[in-house]
Amino acid sequence: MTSTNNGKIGIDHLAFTCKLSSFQNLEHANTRRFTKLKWVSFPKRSYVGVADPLLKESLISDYRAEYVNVLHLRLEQFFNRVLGLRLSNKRGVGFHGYKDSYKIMSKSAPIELGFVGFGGNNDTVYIQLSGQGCSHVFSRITPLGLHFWLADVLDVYKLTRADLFYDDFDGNFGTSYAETAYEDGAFNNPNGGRTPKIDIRRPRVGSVIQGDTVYIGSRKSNVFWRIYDKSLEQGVENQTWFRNEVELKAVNVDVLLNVAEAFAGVCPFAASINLEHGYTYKSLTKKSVVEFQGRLKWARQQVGSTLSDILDAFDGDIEKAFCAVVNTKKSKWQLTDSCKQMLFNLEKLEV
Amino acid sequence: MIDSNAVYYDYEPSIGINAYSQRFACLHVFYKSWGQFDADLIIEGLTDNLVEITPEVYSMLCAEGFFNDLH
Repeated sequence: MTSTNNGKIGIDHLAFTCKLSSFQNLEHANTRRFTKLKWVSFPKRSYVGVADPLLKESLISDYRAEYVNVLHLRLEQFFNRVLGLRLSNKRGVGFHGYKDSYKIMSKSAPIELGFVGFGGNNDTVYIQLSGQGCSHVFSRITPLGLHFWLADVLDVYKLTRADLFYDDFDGNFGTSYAETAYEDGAFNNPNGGRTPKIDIRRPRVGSVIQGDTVYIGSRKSNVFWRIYDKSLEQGVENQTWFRNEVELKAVNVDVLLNVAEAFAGVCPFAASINLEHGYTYKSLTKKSVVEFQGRLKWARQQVGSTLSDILDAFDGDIEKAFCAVVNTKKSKWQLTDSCKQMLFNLEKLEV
Repeated sequence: MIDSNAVYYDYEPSIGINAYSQRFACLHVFYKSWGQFDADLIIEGLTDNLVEITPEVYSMLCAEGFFNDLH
């Protein structure tokens, strides 16, 4: 499962490295923001003033072990309080060249959302968040907020990988558009360089198309595009859904300052999606309509006949029947103008 | 002993595939799905040299400094 973004530029994968010791700086956030989060305290230096060299050495060793332990507790707190996630127990299994690792988990369900590698490699930790993990994180904190924690508190200046994506529900930015844009040189690096390669894949069985994907660039290069028919991939029928996704490697953490701007800056193709001039709103509305349509379909299946009986009881007076079912005074139920408009549009969309 | 033609991979279905190979320009590539991974392997002609990273394989790779260039 990947995250969706309601028509904005979303983040579908994040990976970065930071020093474990940078978690001693978490209090810095309190002076820069209004947040006053309490973090686990570091141990006291009980070895100071101890004359016996053997005892002193033992106390120093204990102090160091406890210090590292507190750093791990703070890492756990950071995931919990800032990212809204939790860490598993230490797995006792190495990962990505590290001696040990945690799994990143959802707080509310046993869902795995990524990895943290630790131990070795100059006492760094490697954090890798899946698309679903990003979805969890960005439902709690904005990319700008995450930038603050990474750049200003944890001294992270580079993201090993960040995948940015744009979902198109209108068919304006599908695979055909990507092919045309490629022919126009719109995927070329604005700063020069070789033309990236294009790889178009439309596997089919007989006349049934099973996938529609355009790859541009190389997965091993720092910029790699994947434009594909998400509805085909997910098996969603009668729905236009194209995903335009770019993998950025070794990218400056500042992409989080303004994700849309960073996306638009990758190449002319990305800029042509032109999010600042209306498409965002259009996609947002369309996705809401589709979701609303799904809810109606569900309600029709579950309580359609009951509602029909209620309507009969009120001699077909929709307003009275509706008020009998929904307490409009106490409820937050209030149809907005956009929802009313959606209801009018539903007839056109229904299949 | 490290096989320079092999693709070593760690697959977690709910997260993705971390693949490592000396044939990759940057040693490590993360794939979100097995389909993406498989498609790349076919293109690169690497389907015959797949090695899953078990604890034993991981220990061998670490001991031989396979991951050193990542950090």
